[in-house]
Amino acid sequence: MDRQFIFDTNRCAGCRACVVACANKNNNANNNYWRKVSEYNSNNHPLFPVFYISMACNHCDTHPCLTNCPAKAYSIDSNGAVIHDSEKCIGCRYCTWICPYNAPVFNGKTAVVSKCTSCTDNLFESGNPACTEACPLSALTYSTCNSKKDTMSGVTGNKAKPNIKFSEFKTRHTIGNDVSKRANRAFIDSILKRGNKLKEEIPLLVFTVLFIVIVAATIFNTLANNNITKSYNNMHLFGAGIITMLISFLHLGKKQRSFRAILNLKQSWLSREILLSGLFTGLLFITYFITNIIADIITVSVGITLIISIDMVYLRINNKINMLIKAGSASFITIIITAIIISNTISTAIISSLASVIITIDIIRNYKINSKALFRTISILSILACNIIENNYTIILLITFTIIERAWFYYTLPVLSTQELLNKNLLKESNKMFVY
Amino acid sequence: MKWYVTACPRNCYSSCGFRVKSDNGRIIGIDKLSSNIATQNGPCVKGQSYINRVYNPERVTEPLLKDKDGLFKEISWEKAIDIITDKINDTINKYGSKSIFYLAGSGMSGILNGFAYDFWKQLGGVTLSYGNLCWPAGLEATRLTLGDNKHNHPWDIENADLIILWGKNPAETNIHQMDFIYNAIDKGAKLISIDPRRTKSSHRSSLKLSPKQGTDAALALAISAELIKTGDIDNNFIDAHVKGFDSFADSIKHCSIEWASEICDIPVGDINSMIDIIVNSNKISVVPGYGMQRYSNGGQTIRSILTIPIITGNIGKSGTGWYYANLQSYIFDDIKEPISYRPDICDPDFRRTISTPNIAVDMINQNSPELKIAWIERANPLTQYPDTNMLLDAFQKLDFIIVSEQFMTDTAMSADIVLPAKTMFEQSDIVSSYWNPYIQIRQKIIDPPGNVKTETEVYSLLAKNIGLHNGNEFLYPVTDIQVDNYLSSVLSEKGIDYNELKKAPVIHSSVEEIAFSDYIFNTKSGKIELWSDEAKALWDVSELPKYVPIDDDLDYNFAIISPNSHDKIHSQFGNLDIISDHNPVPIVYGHPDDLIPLNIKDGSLVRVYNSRGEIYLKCRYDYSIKKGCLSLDNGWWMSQGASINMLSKSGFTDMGYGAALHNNRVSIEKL
Repeated sequence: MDRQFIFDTNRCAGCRACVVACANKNNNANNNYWRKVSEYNSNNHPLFPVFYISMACNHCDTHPCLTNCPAKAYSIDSNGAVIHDSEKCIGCRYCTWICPYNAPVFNGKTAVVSKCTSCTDNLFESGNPACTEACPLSALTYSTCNSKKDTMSGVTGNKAKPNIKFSEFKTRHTIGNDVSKRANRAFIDSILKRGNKLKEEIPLLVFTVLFIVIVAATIFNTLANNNITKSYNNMHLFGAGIITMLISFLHLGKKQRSFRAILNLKQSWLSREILLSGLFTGLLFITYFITNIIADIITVSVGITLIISIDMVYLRINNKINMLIKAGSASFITIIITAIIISNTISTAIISSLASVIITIDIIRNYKINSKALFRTISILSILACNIIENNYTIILLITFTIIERAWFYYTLPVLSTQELLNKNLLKESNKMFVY
Repeated sequence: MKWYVTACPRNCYSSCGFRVKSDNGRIIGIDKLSSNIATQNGPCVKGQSYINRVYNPERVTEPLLKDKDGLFKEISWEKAIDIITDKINDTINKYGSKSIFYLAGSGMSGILNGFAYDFWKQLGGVTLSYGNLCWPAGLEATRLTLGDNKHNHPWDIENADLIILWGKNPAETNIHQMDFIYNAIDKGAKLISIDPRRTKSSHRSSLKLSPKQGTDAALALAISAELIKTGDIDNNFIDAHVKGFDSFADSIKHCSIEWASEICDIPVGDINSMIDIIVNSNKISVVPGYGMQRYSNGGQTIRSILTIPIITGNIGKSGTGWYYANLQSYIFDDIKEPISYRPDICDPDFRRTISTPNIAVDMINQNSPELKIAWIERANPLTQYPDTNMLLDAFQKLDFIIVSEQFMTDTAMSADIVLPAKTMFEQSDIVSSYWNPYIQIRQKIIDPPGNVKTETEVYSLLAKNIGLHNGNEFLYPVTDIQVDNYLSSVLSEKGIDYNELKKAPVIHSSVEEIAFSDYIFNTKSGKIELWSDEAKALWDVSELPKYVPIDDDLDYNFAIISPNSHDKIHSQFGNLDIISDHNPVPIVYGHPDDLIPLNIKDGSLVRVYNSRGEIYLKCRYDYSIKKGCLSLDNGWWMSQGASINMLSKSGFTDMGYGAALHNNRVSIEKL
């Protein structure tokens, strides 16, 4: 970008004139605002400063939205701005998860995403974005800036390389602490409040869990080819796959454009996941008619790749490896289910014990953060139970708890946003400062 | 497409100049107007929301008549004018014209508003209110002390090396002042903020004090007493320009820091720090707010705070001063506030007997004749005047209520007829300001939507129907040409060219850039009066500034304050979706250490109540608010969930005929 947003936290009063100016210019009112004002310490704890950050799209140099969009709805314009084309958008919302600043906004009415264009078609003589023209305190400006990049710790120091600069933060007066310990605990709780993504993502939950089961069953079918009577065949699995894919369509805002979902195989794990799920389902159909060990191996390989791609889709959001070793991880659960189906007691015991240890460590580590770790605890117990009880109900039990764990995963899935970044920082500072 | 220069006519310090882009008779853009230096960066979030306001689907654009079931039905203007004419004629025949109560608020400033009085006078004169909700105690305190309500050009505050925000929160109520304050801080100035809340304006202050409600005078007098004791005062200035210094110094000898610390509930160390900062500052600008003078001791509080810049000689120079109100641009008024608030300042044809602070009781108690009809415009008394429940009783007693409104406010809902009102873009007028020094014009840019008519046209139609029109089609300026001619002639009397004003705002030649730089004080003695015989004579308060405790109703555990927020002007703007998306419901804030023992969680639904009323709303924790104090923003409607004036108390401030509606105590419980 030749020009970029420059934000002076020392001047912003959190008035949201920028938000409304953007809405006036770009017609994005009614809770589809492109620009958002985040607040640090909005409950005014006396030990910490209070400040605001106004942010829309930072037109990042690495633009994870563009890279990960399965439908190739994003492009870069001649000024270097990252532009989203609503006509190409399938409404999968993946970019709203993957953007560190929550810049793309999904509009329930139009069923597609939209986002800041940096006002390429500005009304104003200056050619500047409407938000920067509107700031009554000149806190938000837009210009060429060749000086050393000022950063704000935790906001700009990430891999996305956002095109925004911050003026040096001037220390703010804090007003001493006369808050009781009890109130401090309430303060920590209030920072932890999170958005609940579960309800809108139920199709994704069903998609993931069903494909885990289908892939595990396919592996079982292949391995158990000769010595166990199949209670189901690949035609059953194919049927299940088709239903699963249909359910996943429900998640898309623009179902008629669903073909676009596989346009970005080169970069987007989501495109790959979608293609692989189709390919895998197709192979199930073929292998019903062709009983051939090579076909079987190909099918199983595609299935395993599909499971890995499911995990990669979520891994891209958080870039944290411990996402892979949770009960919510597709690969992990697939391995356990497969082990149980094969009824190899020893391998089940080893894998599930290992799983229990890893999950227990994870819960202990994050206990403070996820005080509602009940679901997690139950899922460990269920995996442990697989060691002890050996019958068909174990699988049902395990799948049930996989669903619960997976639901919890969506429930706690952090919506990456500037507010979330600020909250994390405030939480860290609070844990440092408070004495319980 | 065309850009127009305009100015915001709200009851707001800033009175922003801005530019509006219109295309095919529709407003499509709002941008800054750099020729108004005071508001050069452009309007606030409310100004940006005007497009949403003008074209809001909930705007009233047809006359509405309430039917027997209490539902509003659209009617034609002919019918509306006929019904009103019949009502007025009938009532005047039976009870006389004084049984009509004309209540106008501060919803939209402009000199055309004055034609309403012409109409009511021609009708024989009606009943009016006196006093004011907003700022009279402080205006009167300042007038008694300095002689005039004026201050330096707003941008001069950049030259201060100490700015004291005493009960003012410009980041929300006057954001353009914050721009200059930040510039001053960036140049090295210190900021002290005094407020029961940690306001958005206080984030970069060097010191923050939170005195208990109604005790600000004690803090101010203790500071003045200490400055006098240590000799950190400007003796030359005092000798030359101040009346009554010695008796003032004598009268506050007992006002020690410890005394104030106990009364105000502030640590002694904080008061000492404030004195240190004052002593080490050469140019002090004191910026008081209006909230703390809406107490029964409001006038004396303002007089007490004003002693600090006076005894330190911080009057009449760049970087110094007293930023209460700058009425220098009120050049069209014969009698300025606060004198205009007196009941005896009145055309003899009118009856001015209803006090604003006690509006409900006074309305009920009017006799010979009793009130029968109320005509309300630019006002929303059912959310903004004290003691809503009592006021509802007063409204119940009326036969007929006519409300001119843009939206279905609580007051409009109480009306029998609602007349659709214009917005600022639909008729030209002149805007003065009480902070920035400019005379500005707001231009007609678009035709009113639907069947909206301007007030001057409505009064013309009524005059014609009633038979007052003397053969004129329009008795008042109605057409664009009539309005232009009228405004042009008013302006040219003051030496201002109407067409120039359409290009940029102007500062009238009488406006002083540095107020009082001539050291002429328009008081009886010609000096700054710490000792004011007039204060005693007019208001029966001490001649000297004095701390007078407010009477607290200790049956209720909390003081409740009702600050203004950045996204409303009193009850305006909060209903617009572009505003309510970010601030959807009223919230009462309190300190967690007060609320946790009451089992109230962050986000709990609560009942807040006292003997006058109750409200049900959401409660949030504020970890920095003064303990023992709750806060609910001013301006929420009852229909939006909870209005603060369901709880507030009628009563006068000690001077100026202001409303002491902040003398308010409540209890809170979890639902």
